[in-house]
Amino acid sequence: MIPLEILALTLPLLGAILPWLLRKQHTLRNGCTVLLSLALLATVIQLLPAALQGESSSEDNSVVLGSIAPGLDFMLEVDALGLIFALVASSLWILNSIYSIGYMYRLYGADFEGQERYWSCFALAILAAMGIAFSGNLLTLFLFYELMTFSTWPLITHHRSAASKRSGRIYLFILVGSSTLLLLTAIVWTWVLTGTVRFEAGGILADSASPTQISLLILLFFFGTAKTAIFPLHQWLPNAMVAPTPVSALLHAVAVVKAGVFTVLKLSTMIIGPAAMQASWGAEVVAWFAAGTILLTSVIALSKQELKARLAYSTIGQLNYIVLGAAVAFPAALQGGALHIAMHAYGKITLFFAAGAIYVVSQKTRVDQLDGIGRRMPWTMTAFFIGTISTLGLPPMGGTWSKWLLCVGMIEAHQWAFLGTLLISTLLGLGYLLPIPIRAFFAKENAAAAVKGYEDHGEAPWACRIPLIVSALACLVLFFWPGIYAQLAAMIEGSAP
Amino acid sequence: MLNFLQPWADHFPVLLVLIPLLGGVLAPIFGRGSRGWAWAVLTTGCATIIAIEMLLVVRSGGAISYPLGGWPAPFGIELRVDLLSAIVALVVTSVGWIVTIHSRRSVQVEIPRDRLGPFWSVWLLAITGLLGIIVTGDAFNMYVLLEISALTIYGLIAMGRSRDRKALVSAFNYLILGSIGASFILIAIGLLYAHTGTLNMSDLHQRLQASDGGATVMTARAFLLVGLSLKMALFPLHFWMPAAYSTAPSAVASLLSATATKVGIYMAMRFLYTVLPTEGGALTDPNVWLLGGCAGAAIFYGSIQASRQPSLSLLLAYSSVAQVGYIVLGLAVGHIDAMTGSILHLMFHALMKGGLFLCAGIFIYRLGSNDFTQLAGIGRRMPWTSAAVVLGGLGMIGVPGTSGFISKLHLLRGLLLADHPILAMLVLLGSAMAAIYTWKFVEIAYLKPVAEDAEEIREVPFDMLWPVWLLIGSSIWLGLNPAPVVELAADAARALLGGGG
Repeated sequence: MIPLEILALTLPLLGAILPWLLRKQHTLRNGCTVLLSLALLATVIQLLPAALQGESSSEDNSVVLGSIAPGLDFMLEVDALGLIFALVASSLWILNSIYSIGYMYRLYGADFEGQERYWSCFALAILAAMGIAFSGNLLTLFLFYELMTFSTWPLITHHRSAASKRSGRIYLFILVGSSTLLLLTAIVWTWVLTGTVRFEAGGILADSASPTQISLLILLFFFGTAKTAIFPLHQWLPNAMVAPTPVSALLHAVAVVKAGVFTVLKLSTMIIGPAAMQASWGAEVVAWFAAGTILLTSVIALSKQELKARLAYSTIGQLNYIVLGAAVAFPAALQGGALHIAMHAYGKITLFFAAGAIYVVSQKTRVDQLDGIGRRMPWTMTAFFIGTISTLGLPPMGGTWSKWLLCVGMIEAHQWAFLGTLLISTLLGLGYLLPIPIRAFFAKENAAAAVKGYEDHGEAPWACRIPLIVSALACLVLFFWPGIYAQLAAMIEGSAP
Repeated sequence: MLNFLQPWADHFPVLLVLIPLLGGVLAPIFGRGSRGWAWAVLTTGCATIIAIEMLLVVRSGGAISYPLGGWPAPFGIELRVDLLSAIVALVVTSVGWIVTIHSRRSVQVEIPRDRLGPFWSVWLLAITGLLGIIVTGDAFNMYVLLEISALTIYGLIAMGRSRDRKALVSAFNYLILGSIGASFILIAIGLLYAHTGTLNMSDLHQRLQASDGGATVMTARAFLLVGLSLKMALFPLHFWMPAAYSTAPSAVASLLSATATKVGIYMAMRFLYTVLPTEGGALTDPNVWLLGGCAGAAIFYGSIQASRQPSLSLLLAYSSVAQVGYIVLGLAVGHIDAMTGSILHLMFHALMKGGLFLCAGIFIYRLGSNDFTQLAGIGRRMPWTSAAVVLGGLGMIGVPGTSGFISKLHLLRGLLLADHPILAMLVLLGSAMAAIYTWKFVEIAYLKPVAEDAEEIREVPFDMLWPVWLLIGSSIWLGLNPAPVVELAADAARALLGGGG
């Protein structure tokens, strides 16, 4: 029988090939894509029981794909942290596929240009996410990390306009530049120092590198992973907003940025090791950069009138919560960071789905145009409200738990400044996100803000509305039953005090 | 091993030279049509099979020594094939074979009809010269074969004149510079002969190692370094290459980029490590700094220039300048891992750049030129060729999953272990800059709209496409499953650094 990890890579691969085979049979292709995404979720769920029973990092459950040299393989291995990411990516792929159909069909017609490329690259990005989640060593992770960068570039430049070309350049420049110059250096250096690139509980560096080397490596690793959008490498994310909204959702919630924060958590727990992280000045520097990013982007978000840009800066802030958790590396902070991958994903994808739904029916992109829109689009704006609360980490939404754990982690580490950062950024978040749903429901509609030809609109098409309702419900459910995610987060390396 | 070849096993080294030589001499009688091409395919195919078998023999039984005419070395001419020569011979023959298979149509379009017979003859003789350099164990013999390959290559480049008149100028420039390079090598060999009284390479190495060298050897080394740098187009002596590669017939450009510079690099490895005296298997510091500095500058300069070129051929040629830099870098440092990376990159770059130049040739075949102004929106009109360029470009960058990554990984490890972190950073910087020039093509091919008045362009026939995809596909395959090749390269590197074969 095929190992499930391989199956989890094969299904998206099929999804990447299918659009080229079924160029004319759109319905069949859509059906197959949704079915594949369901099958992928089922596969990931199949992997859960074994991981939950514990001892996930033993030698025997790794799968070797190919070998470069003795001790240097492309290999897959399942652990708790990887399962969190895989569950998030596979479950949201289902929603995003359905949403893509609704969004792209409504805006560009059933036969939109470059659709084979669109669906194919989308599936490739999911393939990369699965590969990153289940990678058993740094080399495999790097392979899929770069695959993700290159497979999402055609999505970002989907419109082929001058603006999308520019964004594509910035995207590649920052992501490829940082990963080849910094991340690859760090990987090879680790290989030279320790003779291995395996992920191991407690890290592999502590015994074979001096404190200064560890600190330098931490800097190389954390700034090499620019997918976390840490300042000053955050510019690619707001610029990628020119892409169609489902792509933004893929970037912000499903795959790309989550791959970044997943990577830093993995590095912190299984390469450098929590103990070494806590002792090093490199981690301290990273933590200050992350905290600075959180505050800076919250302030920038306040000033942005473009809805998607505001959401983008909010994402950067939220991501750096996780980077902060990974850098502080106290048990609760790591656990909170891992949980935040999931919680932020469901909240943020709801917000992006809603922003896209609004654009589809009304062509509105600016926050100040949205007064009173809640009465026309009650479902969408209710979901937006739920997503807002969850993103800010307030009860009764799922985001509460991860933020709670992160705060506990800062207290454990006696990092009062960082605790303050988290709280202040929540307040700022209230300032830039909450007014949107409130004004949507309670302010008077401004007729002058309507886009010509779209004055009298109703709700978004069902294919757009269902995914955002489901993801909003997920936020709610995860507050009362954080269940599987909380269990997995409690199991990641270094989360036990 | 193929059974019917068993009786010939002892003669593989000489067969590798004789087969293309005979093929070249006989080629004109097959005329101008497809038969001449079929003959070239047959000849290069036989040479490839011999090269494969020879690699297997060397792998299992160690280096082969073949006394020409039965005169034992060091009195007669010795052909000597160790692991490194067997690898390079396989690269030259196999890529040469695939390029030959591909180029039936493009040669018919680009070469004047009355030159078609001689063309295949010269083509095979060029391959003969290159293979001869690889298998010979005699320094003067190597010089003679170098001249054979060089003279034929000048002719091949000049045949690009029907498409681009500049081919004559660039062939002439290359002739002058190539001759200077060859003379320098000849002077060096003469000096070494005067000093030691022998021309056999292993004999030379032993005697030079035993003597204290002195001024004669140092002068010889200087002449050799300059001559070889010219031959392998190492910065700052690279300037003949972009002109020659971009004006030569496209099939010739593919052949040369995959084989000729590689053979130059092979000669450098041979002379620096197994002929000239080494310090416990390594180069002396001034040599390391000179070669390493030139290589570093080549990476930097080549990558920058590549991103500023107006046509795909020129872009690829300048990218070759940079890639030669990578290989020489590993060669200069002389650490086992770096040398492994060098040998790997020598193989992988031949695959990738050969495939890329074939693509450039395909664009010429369809569009008449491969200027970027003509390539706007080509990604949708010629999807298979464009996709091959993108994959090859990813290999140039060294994206994980491509073979370019494997060689750079070993190179980086070697540079770090040999305490050259600055050179390691240069390698990484070069990769990032490769992303810039690769993406120049990607943006033009996929994001630019097709010009309004552009005529209908269709993808080329399958018989031109599959050799391209064979080269590019194998470079990807070797990026995912490189273990056997890495082992091979590591053994070759170990043999080279151990001094002698």
